[in-house]
Amino acid sequence: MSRIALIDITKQFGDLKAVSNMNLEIAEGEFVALLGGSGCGKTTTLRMIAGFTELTAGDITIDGKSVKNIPAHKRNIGVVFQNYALFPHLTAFENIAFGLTLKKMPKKEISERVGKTMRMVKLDGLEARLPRELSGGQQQRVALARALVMEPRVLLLDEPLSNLDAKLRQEMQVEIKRIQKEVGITTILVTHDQEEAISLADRIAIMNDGLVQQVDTPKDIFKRPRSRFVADFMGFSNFIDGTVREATGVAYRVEAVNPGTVTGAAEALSLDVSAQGTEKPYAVGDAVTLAIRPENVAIGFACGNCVRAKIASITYKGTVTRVAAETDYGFSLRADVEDATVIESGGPAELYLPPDKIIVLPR
Amino acid sequence: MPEKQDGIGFKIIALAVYAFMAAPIVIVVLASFSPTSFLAFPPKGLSLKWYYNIFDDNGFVSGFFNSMFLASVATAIDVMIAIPAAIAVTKYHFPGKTALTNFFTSPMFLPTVTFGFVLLQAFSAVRGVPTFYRLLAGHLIIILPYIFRNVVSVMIGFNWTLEEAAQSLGARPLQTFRRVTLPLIKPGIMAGGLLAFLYSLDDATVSAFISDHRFVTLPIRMMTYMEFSFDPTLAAISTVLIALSLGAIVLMERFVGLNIFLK
Amino acid sequence: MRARKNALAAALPATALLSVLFILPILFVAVSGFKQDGTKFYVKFFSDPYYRDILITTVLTALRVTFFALLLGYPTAYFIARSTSKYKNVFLIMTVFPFLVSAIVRAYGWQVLLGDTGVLNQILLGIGLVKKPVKILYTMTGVTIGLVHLLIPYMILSIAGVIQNIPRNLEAAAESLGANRLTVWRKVILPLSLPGVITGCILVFSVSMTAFVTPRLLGGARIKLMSTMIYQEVNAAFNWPMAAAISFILLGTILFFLLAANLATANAMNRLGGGKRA
Repeated sequence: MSRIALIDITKQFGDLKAVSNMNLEIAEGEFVALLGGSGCGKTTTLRMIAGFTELTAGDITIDGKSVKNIPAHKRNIGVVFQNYALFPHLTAFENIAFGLTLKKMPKKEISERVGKTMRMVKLDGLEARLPRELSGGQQQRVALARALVMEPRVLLLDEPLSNLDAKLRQEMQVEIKRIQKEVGITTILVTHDQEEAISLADRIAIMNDGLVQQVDTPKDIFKRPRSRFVADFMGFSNFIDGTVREATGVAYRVEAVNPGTVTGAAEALSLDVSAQGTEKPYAVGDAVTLAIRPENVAIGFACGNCVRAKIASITYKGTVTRVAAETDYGFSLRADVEDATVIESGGPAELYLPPDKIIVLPR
Repeated sequence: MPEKQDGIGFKIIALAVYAFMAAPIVIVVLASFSPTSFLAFPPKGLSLKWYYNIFDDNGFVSGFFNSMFLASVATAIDVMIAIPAAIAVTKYHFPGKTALTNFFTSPMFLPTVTFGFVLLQAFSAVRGVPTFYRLLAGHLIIILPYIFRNVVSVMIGFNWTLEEAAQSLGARPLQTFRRVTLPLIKPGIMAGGLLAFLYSLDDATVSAFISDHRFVTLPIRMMTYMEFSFDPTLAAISTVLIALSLGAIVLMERFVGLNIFLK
Repeated sequence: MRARKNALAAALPATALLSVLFILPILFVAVSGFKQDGTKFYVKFFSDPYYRDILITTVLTALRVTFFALLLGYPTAYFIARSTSKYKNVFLIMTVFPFLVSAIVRAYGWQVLLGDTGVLNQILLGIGLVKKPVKILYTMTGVTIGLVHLLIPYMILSIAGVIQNIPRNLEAAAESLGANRLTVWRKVILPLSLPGVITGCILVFSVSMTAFVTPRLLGGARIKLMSTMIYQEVNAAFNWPMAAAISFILLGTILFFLLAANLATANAMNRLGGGKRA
């Protein structure tokens, strides 16, 4: 089990900077997720750690020793690829045993180690099957076993669950978490799925455009995103630009900019926001963006933090009903509510934004 | 969904074409068993005498071994050259890749007669190269595209991530090639190798210009034999060659499948 | 970059081989030809009708062979591509097999079939259809038959490969919209199979222009094509410079036709959209 340090790493492909001066430290046994959309640099970072891509600048150390100049096949890093990359001409057993046979390990020992690992990932009985005879979930487990049987110092997972259906994905998430805790191996997961990152990782690094936007525990990233990008990524789909007009120790009053583009709004919208959810204290005059999750927006009655709006659409989604509304102040709001019977599409509504559920982000 | 029976017309034409394609081959096999020195129709009996004649001092046996040896050497060398070349143009991306691919297939576009003559003149300017090596040079060139194209076609869809997987498991580059890449491209190598081998075995064009009494290939022996005699010994040796080709294609079908020929 | 070095190293043996044994000899012969005789023999070729006609005959023969190969090959290809699996493999083997049979063997077979005392004439004389043996061997007809036989597998495989990729439900869709079988073929299959037709024709044309063994064995001394002329100038007339000129003129002609065909069809391929891009 090793600790990893990414020191100022950069990767440039011609004109494109895929990864820019990234820094990250991962402790022994920690499970870190690199989370971001396509093109953010997360896969490139993973490939640099594995040794498949050379660094343009910076260094990567494992247990304090630089691996920058060590070729991939000497780094002893386990990789699970997005498409599993199982050797199609070898059985499940042979796939898993592959790395061990390279080391010229005695057959009996190989058999033991492979058997043990196959049991750990719940693959017993499937030794003689070829990859094309295995289901997606089984193939995934073979890929995992193949990497783990080598007892690597680090495990890299490249979007391993993206090819599975929803139910299987949930199951495999539980499995991966269990196995990782059991083996205690330092693990880095690359994914675009925030729910996956949240359920699996000890810490999440959100990436965009080759830069790390925020590194935090899942809880902190979920509740306290520090930038608009991260907030948006984590599901805060309502944003209101504003300026701080009053600041007490416990609350801010923020005035929304672009007030009243729709006729009928006599004055600017002011919202009270609890100061608890903010990172650093803001002062009067600061430019901020307010954000709130759709599930925290409620249908209300005329009140302090209510916003008058016209309902644009109501969509039943099973667990919640999604309401999209155009406010009188020029911005739109999305609310996920349990019961939308009091409103109707095209009609007016007041949407309540609870002060303690709004977060303040720098603009 | 159940398919309507396609026009009977197509079927008839197709069968006629196949009969046409099979005709000379069938005739040759029949002629080889003819007791008379020309094929009578209807045939008047069976005889193996022309097969025995092959072994009489006709130069067929030595020609056969010469051609087999030449084809084996040429194919073996070209396989070792074509595989890295195919890897170069499928695994990597660099400017001029397409041009290089076309370059490697270009001998197919040079008329073999032209090349035969060119080699003749070129080698007569460079004295002292034994006939076998002149032929080898010619064959190395003309059969290369067959191996190259077949290996390229299996490598085009190749999942290169497999090589990275092997690397992550500790495989050195050569180990990766031997245990992962090579087994998976074998069909292409075998198909290409087979075509190349038979092409070299059957080549009479380059050989017509280069081959001489010091190294006679079987096709040349057959052609010169035809110039003064039509007896069915030719049919006998031809039947042997046909059987060889048939055996080869059966092997191909068993181990590799024939879909590779549909490109 | 490491990867690029690997690529160049891998490509090196093939490049070296082709450069030394392929490009070099061609350049040597071409250049020394020009140095010694200039364009004398090329001029002679084009100014002497004896030689000019050979070029024309060769082109015409190639066109004729391509035509017949297409005529016979297309329906066969369609048949294979659309046939159900039980016999398909057999037909595939039967199409590929002639590839593996030497041109000499095939030519010999045609000699036995078409000669004056050959099987065909025996049958025709036997049933009294003709009084004298029909002369097919050592005529252009014989050569054409031999070449069509040699090259039809190329045509079939080219076209069958493409037709196989045309989804069957396209034909069903067209029929459901009211098209009869002829229209289905004309408006759906034909345009979509065109890339295969074009590839096949280019292939057959270029090989028939340059074939040596088949014309030589089936045509004898009287049929004069470019390829057999090269051989004759070397072995009968000992006129190597002329042989060189004919060789390169043949090469030039082939390249010209290939280029023209590629340009002409690039247009057609573009309009057809799908299919593999280079």
